Amino acid sequence: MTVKLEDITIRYGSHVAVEGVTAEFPDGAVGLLGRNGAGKSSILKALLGLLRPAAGKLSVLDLAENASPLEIRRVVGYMPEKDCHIPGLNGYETVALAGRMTGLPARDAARRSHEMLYLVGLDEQRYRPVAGYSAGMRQKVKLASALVHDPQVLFLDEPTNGLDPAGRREMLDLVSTLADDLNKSVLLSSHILQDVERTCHSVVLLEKGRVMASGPMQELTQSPVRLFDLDSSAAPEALASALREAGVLEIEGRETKGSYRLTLPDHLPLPAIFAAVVSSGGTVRRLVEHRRSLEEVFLGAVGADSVEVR
Amino acid sequence: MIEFLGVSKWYGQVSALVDMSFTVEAGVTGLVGQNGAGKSTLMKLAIGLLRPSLGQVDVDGGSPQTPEVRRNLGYCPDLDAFYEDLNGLTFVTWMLRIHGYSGAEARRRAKDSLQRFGMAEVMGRKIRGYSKGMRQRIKLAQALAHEPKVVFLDEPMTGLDPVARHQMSEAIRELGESGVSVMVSSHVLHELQSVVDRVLLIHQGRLMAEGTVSDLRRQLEDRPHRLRLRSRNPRELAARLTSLEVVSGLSFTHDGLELATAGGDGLFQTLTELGADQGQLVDEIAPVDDSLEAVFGYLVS
Amino acid sequence: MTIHGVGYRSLEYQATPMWERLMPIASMEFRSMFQNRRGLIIFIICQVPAIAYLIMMMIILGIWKLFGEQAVMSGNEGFVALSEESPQNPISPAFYVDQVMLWSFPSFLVLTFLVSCRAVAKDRAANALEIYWTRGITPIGYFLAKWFGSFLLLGVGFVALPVCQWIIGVMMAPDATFFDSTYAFMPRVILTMTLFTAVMSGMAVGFSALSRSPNFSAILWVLLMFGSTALGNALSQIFRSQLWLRSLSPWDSAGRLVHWGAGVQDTRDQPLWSACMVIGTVILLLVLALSRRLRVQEAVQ
Repeated sequence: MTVKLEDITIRYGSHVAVEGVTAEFPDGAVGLLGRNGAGKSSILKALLGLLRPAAGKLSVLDLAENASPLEIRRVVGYMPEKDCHIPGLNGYETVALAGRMTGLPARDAARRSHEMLYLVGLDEQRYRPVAGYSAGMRQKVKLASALVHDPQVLFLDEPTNGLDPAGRREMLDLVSTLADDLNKSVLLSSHILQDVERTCHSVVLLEKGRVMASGPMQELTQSPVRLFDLDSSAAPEALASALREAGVLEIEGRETKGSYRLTLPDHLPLPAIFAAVVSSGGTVRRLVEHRRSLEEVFLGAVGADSVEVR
Repeated sequence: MIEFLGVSKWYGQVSALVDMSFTVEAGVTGLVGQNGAGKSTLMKLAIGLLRPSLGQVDVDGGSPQTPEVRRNLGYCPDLDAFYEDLNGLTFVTWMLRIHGYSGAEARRRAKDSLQRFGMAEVMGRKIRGYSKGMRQRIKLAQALAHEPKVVFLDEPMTGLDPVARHQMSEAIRELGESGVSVMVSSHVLHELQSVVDRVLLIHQGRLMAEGTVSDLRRQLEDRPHRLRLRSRNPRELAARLTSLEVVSGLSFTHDGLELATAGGDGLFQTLTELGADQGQLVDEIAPVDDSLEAVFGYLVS
Repeated sequence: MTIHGVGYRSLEYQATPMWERLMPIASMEFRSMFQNRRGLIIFIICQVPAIAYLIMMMIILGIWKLFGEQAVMSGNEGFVALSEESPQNPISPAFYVDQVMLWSFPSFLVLTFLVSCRAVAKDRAANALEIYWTRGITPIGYFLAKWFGSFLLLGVGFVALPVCQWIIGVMMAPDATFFDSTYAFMPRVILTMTLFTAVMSGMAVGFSALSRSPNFSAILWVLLMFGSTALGNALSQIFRSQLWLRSLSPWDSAGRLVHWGAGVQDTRDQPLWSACMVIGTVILLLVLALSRRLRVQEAVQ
């Protein structure tokens, strides 16, 4: 367990930002989701030691409970959400400075700066001033800075913010590499749920300062009933009757497109579906178990129909 | 509604758009491209903020530089810049006054529009104190308050949280269904795909493709389709499939196979039969590259 | 043959002490003046008073024979001939204090305008505070490092060069008379000037932490410094009996304290109490404002 929150409450004056949150962030990539003001950044700040919770305990890796913020930041790499850079420095200097400010000796900081910029793919631009970088390059410099002291835990706040499709893919691939190949624990906060779906193995979902849902992605996106998506070229009527005969409970779909959503009883084997399609004279172009998207899970958890504007 | 005829635009020596011709009808059109591909230039040409260096832009039957046409245009810029000390209602009312509405009428419309985007409670507060979501909404409210026929939304989702994104998507979809032509750009292709009827895909100032996503995928014939098959016995399945002419590549995943194929009925026939067989060689068939993201990747790479 | 991977290597390191983490910030602040040729030239121009005094000393000591052999006093004649109290005499403390207090005000304004009063504001404007304060340093450490960088920059002209003059004097003088007549007051002069530089650079850096815009804070700083000095001078000319009015200027007040501290007769005899009060008030106000503005929450939202 990398990060553990026990009954954390965070207050700003009389405003309660986080109330009694208990959560555990397992190893690997974890998505931290929530609307604006749900308490995500308060939790990140508390973990970084930038603010002190009014109540509760938090622990990072095997550090003592009363570890100082500076000790925590030695094992944690933080990539801020805001577009930020240190004026007047080039990419190499920025990352090296980040390392030295964390406590790396000058030689190590220099070596790591080169290595991390290579890792994130900024090798060729490293001697250019960061002020002239594009949005994607700036995100990469922030990531390289977060990695410079070889932290075991990474907090990435909206790492795909402002990136175009190619930039986003690159950034997400990097996140996956860090979590899966380099065994870093990544805490990823993002508004783009598909990014989280693509990179994270589990999710913690906050709303109004409380945990609304958490757990492995597989479990959260599990449908309560057994649903399958089917694309088939078979004639709709024939197909429908063949499927019903095979035992499919419900068929809904847009027939013009040949896409259907099937509700299956618990024990109906899949070959029966294929067989039904064969008997109706068509082919299966697609048959996959339907999982709820993270968006459905999210909207369901926060009760999106009744929420006010924030 | 929107027609570009051989439009080129360059800024000094820098070429931003190259010989672009297309027509967009009612409904939602997605504008897709990398940073710097020319999306914002295209939108600015279409609302008449810029004049084309070559060619002709027609929107709603006239040049967007004429006031009559402009009254029917709505624009939601990607910049986040406001008169911070105004409140939301005053801001939108002003924008309407600029469109030529009388004071009372402008105020009524501004209220309606803000209400429509769920801003009724906060429209009396200064813009300075608004959250990112509220700021995006007043931009949208001012773009739509005068009931334009053609609407341009430049990255309307940036910085919004998932709920707000969902609501924004719904709003855009409804707008398209009500007969307005909407042109919307976004970097989050997955999300855009669920909102738009068709896309314009631009790259380095050139129009690369236009049409619905499935049409575009179908036209990319030289690119093999990729299918992910879930199987309990992938090696056996692979042995059966390699004999097929249309299969051009094959790799093992943790729970099955990934296939590169020219497609065709023969392959699906075989797969369906294998699935129906009690040997259960095929459990699931999932095409993995029929998304806008994959199409964009193929066209741009 | 070996194939070497290019992948990620883990890192083992001994964490450096706090001062070593802060040094790069201080040195960055110091070096920011020398990033281009223009900065270097301006810096050298700012050292003109110290250089001029050095030349003066060399003439007086007869090291540099300006008007040929006959016209020059040799050996100890130079400084013996001058009155011991004369501020142009290198054996009086006034020589080392006045080159700063009388002549370096413009240099001080230029250097603080270009570097010190932007120090924190430029970081705030670029959102860089969030980068600094989420690393292994504290906001106070950060501020001290910036302060130290500025201190070094101002210290070149205010402390280092006068000390150099003295050392040169000691080494070049024909016998020990020069050393004998100066060593008693020199430590006091150096200490006072160091304190003075620290306070003034601290004020400028502290001032920069209050605003978000580097240009705004730099311009306001210069206006306040220059304006208060001009006003203080003018008012004390008009109301001749009210000498404390001179203390309106922090620079003049600090100068008064320096003269008192270094044991130099002050030509501008405003009372010590008013000078203390002005400097004390400015420092108190700055500390109060900084304790609000340099909190972690201010940068990380």
